[in-house]
Amino acid sequence: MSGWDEGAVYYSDQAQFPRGGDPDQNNSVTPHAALRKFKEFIRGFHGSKGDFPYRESLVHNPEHLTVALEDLDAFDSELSEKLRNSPAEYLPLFETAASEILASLRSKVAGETGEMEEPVTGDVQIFLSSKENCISMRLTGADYMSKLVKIAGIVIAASRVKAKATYVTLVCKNCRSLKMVPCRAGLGGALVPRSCDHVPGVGEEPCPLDPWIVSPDKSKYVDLQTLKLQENPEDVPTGELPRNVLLSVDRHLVQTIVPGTRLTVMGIYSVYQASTTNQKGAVGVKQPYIRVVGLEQDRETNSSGPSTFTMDEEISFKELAQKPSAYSDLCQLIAPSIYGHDDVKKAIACLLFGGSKKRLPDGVRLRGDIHVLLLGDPSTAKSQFLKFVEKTAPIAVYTSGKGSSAAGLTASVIRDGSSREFYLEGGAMVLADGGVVCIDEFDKMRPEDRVAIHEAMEQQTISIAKAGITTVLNSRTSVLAAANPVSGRYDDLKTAQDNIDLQTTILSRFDLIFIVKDIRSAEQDKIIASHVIGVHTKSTGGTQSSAATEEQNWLKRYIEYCRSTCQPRLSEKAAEMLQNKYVEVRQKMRQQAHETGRVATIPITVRQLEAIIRLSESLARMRLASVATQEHVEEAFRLFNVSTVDAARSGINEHLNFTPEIANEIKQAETQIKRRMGIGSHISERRLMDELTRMGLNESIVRRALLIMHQRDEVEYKRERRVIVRKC
Amino acid sequence: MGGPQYDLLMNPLGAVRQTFEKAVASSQPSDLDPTAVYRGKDWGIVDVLNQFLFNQGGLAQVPILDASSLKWIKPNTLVRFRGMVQDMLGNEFYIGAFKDGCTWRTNKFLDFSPFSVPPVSETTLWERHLFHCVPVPGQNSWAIESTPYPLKINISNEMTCQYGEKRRRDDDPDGISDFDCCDEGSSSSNKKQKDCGSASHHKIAEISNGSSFPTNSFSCLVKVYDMPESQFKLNEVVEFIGIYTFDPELTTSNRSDNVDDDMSMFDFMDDVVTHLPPSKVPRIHCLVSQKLSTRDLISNSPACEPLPNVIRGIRDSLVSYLSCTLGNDVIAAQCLLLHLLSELRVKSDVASVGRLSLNLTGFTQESASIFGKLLNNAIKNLLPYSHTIPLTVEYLNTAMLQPKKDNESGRLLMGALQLASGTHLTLDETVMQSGTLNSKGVENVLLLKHLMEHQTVEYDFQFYKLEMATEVQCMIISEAKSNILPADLVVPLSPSAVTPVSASEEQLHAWRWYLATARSLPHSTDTSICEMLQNEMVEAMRKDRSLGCSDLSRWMTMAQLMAASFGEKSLSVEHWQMVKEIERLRKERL
Repeated sequence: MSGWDEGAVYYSDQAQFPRGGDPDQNNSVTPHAALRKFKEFIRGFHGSKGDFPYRESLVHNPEHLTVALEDLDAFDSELSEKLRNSPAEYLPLFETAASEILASLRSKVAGETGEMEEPVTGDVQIFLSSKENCISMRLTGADYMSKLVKIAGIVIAASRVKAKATYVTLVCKNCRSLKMVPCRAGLGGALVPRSCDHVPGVGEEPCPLDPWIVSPDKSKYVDLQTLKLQENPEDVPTGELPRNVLLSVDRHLVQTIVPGTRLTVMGIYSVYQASTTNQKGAVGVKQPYIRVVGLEQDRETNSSGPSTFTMDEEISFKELAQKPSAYSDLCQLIAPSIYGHDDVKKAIACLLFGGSKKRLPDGVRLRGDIHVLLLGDPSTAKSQFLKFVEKTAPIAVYTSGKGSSAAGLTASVIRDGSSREFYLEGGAMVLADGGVVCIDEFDKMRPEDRVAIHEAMEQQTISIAKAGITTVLNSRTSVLAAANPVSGRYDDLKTAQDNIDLQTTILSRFDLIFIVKDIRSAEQDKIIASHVIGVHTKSTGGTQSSAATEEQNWLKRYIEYCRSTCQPRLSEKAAEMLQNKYVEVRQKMRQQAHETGRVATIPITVRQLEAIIRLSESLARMRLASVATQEHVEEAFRLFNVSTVDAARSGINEHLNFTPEIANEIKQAETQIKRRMGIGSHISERRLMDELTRMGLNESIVRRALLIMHQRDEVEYKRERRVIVRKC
Repeated sequence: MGGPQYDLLMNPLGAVRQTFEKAVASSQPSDLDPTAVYRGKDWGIVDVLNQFLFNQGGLAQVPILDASSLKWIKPNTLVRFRGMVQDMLGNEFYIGAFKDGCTWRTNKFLDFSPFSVPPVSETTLWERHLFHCVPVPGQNSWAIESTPYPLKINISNEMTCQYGEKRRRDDDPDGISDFDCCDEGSSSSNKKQKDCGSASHHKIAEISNGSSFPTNSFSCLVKVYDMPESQFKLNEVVEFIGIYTFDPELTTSNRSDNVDDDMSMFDFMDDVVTHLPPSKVPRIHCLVSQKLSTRDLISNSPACEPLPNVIRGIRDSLVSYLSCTLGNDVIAAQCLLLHLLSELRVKSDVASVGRLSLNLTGFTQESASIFGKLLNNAIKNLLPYSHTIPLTVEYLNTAMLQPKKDNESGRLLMGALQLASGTHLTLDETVMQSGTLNSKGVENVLLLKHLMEHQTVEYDFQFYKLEMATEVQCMIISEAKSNILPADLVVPLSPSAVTPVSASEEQLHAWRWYLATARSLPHSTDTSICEMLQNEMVEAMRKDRSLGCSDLSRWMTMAQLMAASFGEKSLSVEHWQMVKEIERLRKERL
């Protein structure tokens, strides 16, 4: 017969289902009829292309056969219903059918080749698969007993492979008669009869009670392994622990699974007698387990492999991508609890989606990751942005520059001598390959660590030298960094070197640099205040927060989806436009350099050009577009202008060349301007210039002083910048 | 329902049996299986019990099961147990009903059947949920309810026979010496009282050398019946009333006895329960359960409505008590009060609203030993659950803070951060010294930081981590502002005098009630006051450019807590002004 690890006597515990069932219906598919139908199915089922998938599969791989339940449904729904409801009865029949078909197929093949060899037919193991949704481990209860279930989870442990008897040969210790006893399937044991059926002859001693001794070498065995499956973390209801369920796998499924694998299994929900209570008079406590009859490894376990998305998800993703407002909608989802900073949010969206990786013919790899630096005053929600990205990016590591090193696993507790405050220094920063690293307090990073970051940002590798061994690790990550000015607040007067303790070499590696300044107007203060109050007063219901996390999860999935499915490239027109713009910008710069006699410190170079390409690509990716159009390039340019170029203009870079003398001169000019203008008074710019130059001040210095005062909101320009008004 | 016909206290199983038989008898005789109706359902026993417990005042007579009462409580009697759901062990199937001859019997609420189980065809499988419960970690002595003394005397009459039972309970290989000692003790009832001490001493010794299960504490395996999904959440505090079972046969059964157990050769086949031997972890078959909030722990709370002047009086006395503990520092006492009242209300993506973690700075080695101790005592006296973690490098490097699933045994190993919601956590940074944290230390620090910022703790499930909401009030005491664990509110302590702190039991009780009540008040803010607050904030921001969202957010939290501290549900200008004043005085100290 089948060789399936079950004898002809069906496991009685699993035979609960017929009780109370309709006996008439049971008769409509007799075992014999079912066997015939199964054979017909394997032989005769044909796919949409007119092929015979099961027959062919059996020829190619005679050891096991994977059957889709949907096909069986289509073939004979009654039969598949039977199989679903009492798999323990019908599956052995199916296997018998398969091995009989195999035998017939084989003999045919043998006949054609002319050899008259007896075909060797082995047993066939049937695996079932189905596209139906998994049911939760929590819902499997007595209702599912002995039925076919499909559940998903993570394998957390796997046992050694054991031999499990299918038939046990018993020897009566008195009369030496042999008896073959079938074992119950799965984890069930043999049902050993209590008495010997040998009829004692005259003078013979009758066999006593419990006379049987197992004779192991005469029994039949199959391989069996037990696995422990734990509920997937995403299926665990909040505030509960994941459940476990025991699986038993046999024959060809043995040793195919290692712990840590995500699995979807089809199996028969069964129970076994817990060994601990195997006592006389004990209440039968039964442990549930699933006898696996088909399993599928989830590809999601492999982080580099594509994730699986449900149809619904894909539809909702595509729907969003089609919307004209997709870009602004997505940016709305970025850190919704932070007020304002729209361009920063857009930049973060770009960072999350990322550009396309490129590999040049000569093997040089161009990164697609976008690096963003947020620079600015404390308490401007920089850290919140970082925290948001940490939660939203599929892979992310959050670290504080103060408490981390590029590699290494230890940290030191250091006491600051003067303030007696404790700090953590050095620490674990396992770079998230393929994700985002959020580095807070980037400026406080130790220089040697920053060098490592340096390498990681452009070369996408990281070298570690430890105990004389140097290794190079991949670190294909985006960097989102936040830094504070040295003095705590951004001081316009100080040089950039004084303001931010970062070298231009590292600055130029960031695609976008934002100076997140606290430019406050009464208007804005008001909005911030009302936002804070709103958060606190509306906070009675918990529904709002769950909606927020749902949105965040959705965004996370969308990002994953876009990153895995879409690799946009620049369209030809866009490339052309970019080319022209680049030439234009370079020309302007040259001109500017010619006029001022100085070279800009963040020059627009190829590196910046690449940054704009990456930004355009990521903008296209947000909409699932395969090409980046002019529109995208335009937006990328805009973002670049409001960030890096603005940063350069606002002084970080132009002020770089300030000598102490010039700074002094600017200060003098400022005092003169203040002396000349009372608070609230106004004067035309031309006149102020004239007056001050007459006092011997350099015009460019005066202009710079005015610019700085304007930035500090001390003066205001009116009437097309011709009139200056002093505000405070 | 006729209550008196059952002795629910001493023989609840009799009542279970009788009600079951009655229910089955009343069902239609045509039913093939009359018990099918009762699968996952109650047949009246719970009603009978509810009637007895809550209408006839039976609740007070039910003894509380704890480490000390375990010695004298008889198996198969009704007990009460208060504990935290520490681990969820899933569900198990048992033969719920079976046919014994021609009568149906049930095994519900039992570990064992007194009858032999018939062949499979005449049984039905029912399901029950298993929870591993422990006494709430950090529970302070005043919040622990124990069985009133007179009840003990009643039951100690049966002590002699009970001893025999107990002996068998300890009957495992390493309990042999204990066995002999007890034998002597039980021989004469006069000596019993004296020997009790030594017997329990032996018990402790036995436990400490006991094998895998860490039994410095007491725990219970609770079996819950007919429970809707997600009834209990992890770390919830629940009171279970049910049948305490203990069967000596279970303990004597040794796995090696099971010769016919051909399945023992497979791994993971033992269910998790084997790691909780009944000799050490008592079983409770739960009949009635109830979730407990901190308010439920305060027995006989004043029946009066929280009247404003009453609340104000209690508040004033509490503030003066707190300021006494803090060396007459009223500002710190006010901040501490707000901190004690804080509770996480809402979590949005990055902001968690309502929490107010406190960092009291200015402790030196000497003052920490005085005020730290006083403060600790005060918190222990006021809050039901509190816990202190010393932040030393050695502790951080070695302690297991993170709860971790042991996939071998299937148990969740308790980390120090597996805490019931509403627990107060004191982090003592005064003992910190410079040093090196190893990877575990770094992990622990990150866990603590995450807890403070997001009020969640990651539980380690080996192949993935799961974040569990953990609502804990965190307070740090340190010499200077803690940079390792950033708190919402930093208050430098400036004690002026060490005054003797004293409080009567009555006062303590009033304060406990006050804290629990004020914490649970709903908050609301009128739109008119919002307008005013907004203007005030804009004004403040103009004056001080360094103010950010976090400062404003803290003010709002403090103002709402201030209103709650006066027993008021809505925020008024007065409260806002008080908060502003506290903030001003606090800033001066920074």
